Amino acid sequence: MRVARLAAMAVLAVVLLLSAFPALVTADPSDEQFRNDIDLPPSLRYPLGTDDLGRNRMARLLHGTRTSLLLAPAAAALSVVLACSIGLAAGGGGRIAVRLFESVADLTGSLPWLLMLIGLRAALPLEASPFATTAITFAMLALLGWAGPARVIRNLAANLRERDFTIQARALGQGGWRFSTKHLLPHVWPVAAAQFWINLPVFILVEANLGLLGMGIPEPYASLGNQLRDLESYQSVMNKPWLLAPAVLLTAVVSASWIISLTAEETA
Amino acid sequence: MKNLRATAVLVLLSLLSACAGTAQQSELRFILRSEPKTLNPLQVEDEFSELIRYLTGGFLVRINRATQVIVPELCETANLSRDARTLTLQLIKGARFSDGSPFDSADVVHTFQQLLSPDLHSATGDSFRVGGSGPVVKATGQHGVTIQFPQPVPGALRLLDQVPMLSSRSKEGIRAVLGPYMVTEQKQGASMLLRRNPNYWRKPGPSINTLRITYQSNRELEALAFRRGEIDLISQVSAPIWEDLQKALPQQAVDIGPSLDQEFLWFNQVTAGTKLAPQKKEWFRMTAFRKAVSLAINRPDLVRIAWRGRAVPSAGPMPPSNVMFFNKALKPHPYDVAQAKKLLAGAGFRLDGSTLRDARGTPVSFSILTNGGNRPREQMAALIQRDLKAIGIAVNIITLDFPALIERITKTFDYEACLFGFVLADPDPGYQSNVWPSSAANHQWNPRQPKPETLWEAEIDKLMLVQTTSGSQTERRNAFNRVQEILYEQEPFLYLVHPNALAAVSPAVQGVRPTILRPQLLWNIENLKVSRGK
Amino acid sequence: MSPISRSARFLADTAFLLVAGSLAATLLFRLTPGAETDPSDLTPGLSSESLEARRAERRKTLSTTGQSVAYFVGILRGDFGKSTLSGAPVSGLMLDRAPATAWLVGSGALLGLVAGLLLAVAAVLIYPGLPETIVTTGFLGLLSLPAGLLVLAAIFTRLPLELAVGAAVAPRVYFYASRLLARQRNAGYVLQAVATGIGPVRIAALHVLPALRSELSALAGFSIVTALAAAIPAEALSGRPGIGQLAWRSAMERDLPVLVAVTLCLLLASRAVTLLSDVPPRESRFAA
Repeated sequence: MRVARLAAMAVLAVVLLLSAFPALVTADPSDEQFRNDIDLPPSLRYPLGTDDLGRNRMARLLHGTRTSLLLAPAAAALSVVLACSIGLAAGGGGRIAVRLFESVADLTGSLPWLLMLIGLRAALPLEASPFATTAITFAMLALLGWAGPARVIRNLAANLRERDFTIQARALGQGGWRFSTKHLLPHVWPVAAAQFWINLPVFILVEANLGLLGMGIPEPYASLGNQLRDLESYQSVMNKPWLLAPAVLLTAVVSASWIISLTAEETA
Repeated sequence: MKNLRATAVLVLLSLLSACAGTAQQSELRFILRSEPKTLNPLQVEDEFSELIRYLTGGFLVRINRATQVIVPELCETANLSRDARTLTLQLIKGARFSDGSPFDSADVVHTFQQLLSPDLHSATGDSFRVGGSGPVVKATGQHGVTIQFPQPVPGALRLLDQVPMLSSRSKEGIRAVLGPYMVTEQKQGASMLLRRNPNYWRKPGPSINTLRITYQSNRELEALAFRRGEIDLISQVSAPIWEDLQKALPQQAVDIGPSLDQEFLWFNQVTAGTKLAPQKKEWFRMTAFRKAVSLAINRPDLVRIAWRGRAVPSAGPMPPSNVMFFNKALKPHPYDVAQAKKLLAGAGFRLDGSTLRDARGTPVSFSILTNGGNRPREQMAALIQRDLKAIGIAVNIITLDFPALIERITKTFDYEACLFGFVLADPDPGYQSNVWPSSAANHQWNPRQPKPETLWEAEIDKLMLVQTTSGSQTERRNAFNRVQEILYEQEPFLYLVHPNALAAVSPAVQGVRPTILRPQLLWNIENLKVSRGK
Repeated sequence: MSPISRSARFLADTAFLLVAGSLAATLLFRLTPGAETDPSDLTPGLSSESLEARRAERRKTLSTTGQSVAYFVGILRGDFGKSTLSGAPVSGLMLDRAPATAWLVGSGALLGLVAGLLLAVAAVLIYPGLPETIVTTGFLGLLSLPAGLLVLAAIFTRLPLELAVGAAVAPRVYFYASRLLARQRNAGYVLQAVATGIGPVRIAALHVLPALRSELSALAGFSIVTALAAAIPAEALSGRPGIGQLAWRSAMERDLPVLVAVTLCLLLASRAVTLLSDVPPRESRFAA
């Protein structure tokens, strides 16, 4: 398992490096249109060929991966922070707090997230930059994704509440946020970190699913998700197997994250 | 005895399988990209409901989709008076609805009563309300009808092509139809089955027994179903899919030529009730600015790249295939960056490095709104973004879902520029009566003007009045020619391309004569035959 | 707490959730741009008067608090109103489509659960070592693919959609189950059973799995939730007429009554899963 974890971290590191510095692989920006080089197959000049606007697919893949790898961890972190706050409050509170927590968690999972996503993006001002639009999409996913980790943290917090050291602390008059942060949080933290690694691939996959459905990061901006849309065409995939590159990279990145999350859970 | 029985069984089985084979052979299968919103023929506004209306409705007259000539159907004669105010119709005798109830003038009167009901609020009904009031429809005998308009309506006959007759007597209500087919099965969200109308007035009627329609919004999956032989034809195929089909099945891919559809860009020129920044209002209302942007857009590249060569650059609202109303004198605006820069300099703009600034020094930038999920449009937006970068304009592309986009362009006017398209069902510009007049609700760049804000819009208003009311076809054509010239000079709409109508037809279907008018492949459904090879 | 009071509390919580869910969905809808408009507003030939009349009618369904309350009271009576798109009664629409989604979710969840569990038992308890590594690697690959891609693969290869949903569920079940089973592998009662000469299949079937009854029922609930999440892109991409497709269309085309009904459906489903997961544990006869 240790070997697998190291290998996973190496894969992620390489992908992060290449996506942070795409010039190491190709000097072309992701939105440059080479209008005389439309839909070309892979070559030395264009390692993954060009798309139907003459854009370097490798550049778009690396820039798109950068968007996903930058924003998915941020969204995962945000959802875990929310989960910790809400989970600790629920776990440390009484029966009413627990019931309220369960209700809100169930409600969050059932709300029409697609409508929220559409509405949020439609309500943004015209001057909002593409990055802002993308960041807000991920933030919304984070706001919707706290319930699962919060349940885990809430259960742990509820168990910790019955331990000797916490009983002692409460007997000494400690309570509220001070009690939660001083006594519960240090024990909850490893679990929260494990939840971060579990959520990270989930957010990458959610963006990919949204991209496949046409609701992800909009064209002409690059993301892993919107590049998967080329795979909707059976004929294109058969004729141009290099279109599978985003799927392969996505699998590698997400697998690596899963391996790290599995090993993080074991050590938590 | 045993042998006789066995033989009888064998013969029966053969007959049954032959029937089944024949039944399958006389079934046409195709996909609709969305479930029809309504089966009420008077409330049809989406293209899918319109197709069902076409296939099931009985019409007094029809526009022949191939020749664009009006042909009587349920009328023996249909005459428009010289002053274009009175339509006199003599109905055919002996026609019956699908449930057997007879068709006569009472049904025509009933249909128009329904159509013109103040509660209906339909576009079809509105087309008949000229000058705010509808026509008076009277029966003059069992098979005679007059339709009296308050004002001249030269296009009145054409309007009848959208009004299928409803029965005034049938217990089945709108389900009783006069067309070649009737809806017999409907699975919400999944499929629809139409069968031959046994009481169809025209004999011998269509040879295809059933039309099996499934719903699938994904064009790639529709194309896959066609390749697999699961459906028999597809229309309005997107250019990349058509290209693949042409390579794989060259005999089956059909390029019908430039359609009536239009793709264009316009700037928000609304003066009141908009959040548009004052300097942007100023830019967008400058003809020189709009013309410069138009010159900087590389239309040949839009055609070549976004439409894979299956489109033509447009000069105005009408494509060359609209023989009646296309202004041949107008050519598409050229791609001329130098001229664009000159125009901008003349209007007080200057290039500061790679940034264009107005007279006050404000960098010129704006957003283009378009609807997400429309791949060619998204690609055009990306191409235009790069084209305008060459003249120093920074463009931000915003893709929204359809309802949110419509709210912005028709209600809140919270947008700067919009890249959009129209799908036209009729080549007559009178059909777009809610677009051209400056007071119209869909006069996109600046709707509902209490009075025309510019001289050229005032001129368009006058010309459109002639176009919609003159009895002389030449006058109507000349009036709209002049409208096109004004649009060409002022460019409130920057016309980009007219996409080609692309389709694919299986060799199992015979008799298809593709046209640009919808329904492109099924307009002559009665003449189509299906024979599947064994 | 007695089962009766637990059930009463569960029902009370569920009722509260349904109320909150429908109000939240309605509020969200009203705040979403495009709620009052429709593509048909752009129809050529439509007069300004007709356009205004249509918008006024749409506003009526959204505007006043009184209208929302009346609508909500209708829901409590089981009247979900009519779809603004098709005019069909919403309850009819939901009932028409529920079987397709139930089948897709149910069979996908069952396939995934059985495949994931059986392979976890085989890999962890019966054939540890290289086979375990191979299976784990395979499932890791599956886990890393978005559900949408699995659906597309099923469509292109003409395999049933249920397999795609099962393929989305199985890896998650596998990883959860293999961790549970790995912990049991070295438990005292298992070692004792091995020492008495009982084969690994019998140990798994008669000792380990029964001891994990509550965890397995939680796993069943988890499978259904995962299958439900995969069913929405499955129906949206393939066009299968289920509740997932209805939910997708109602959001894209702003159909409030359908949206509210779908929200309540999902809420009920998640409450059912919570109930299913709440099964008390049972000890193995070999446990100390």
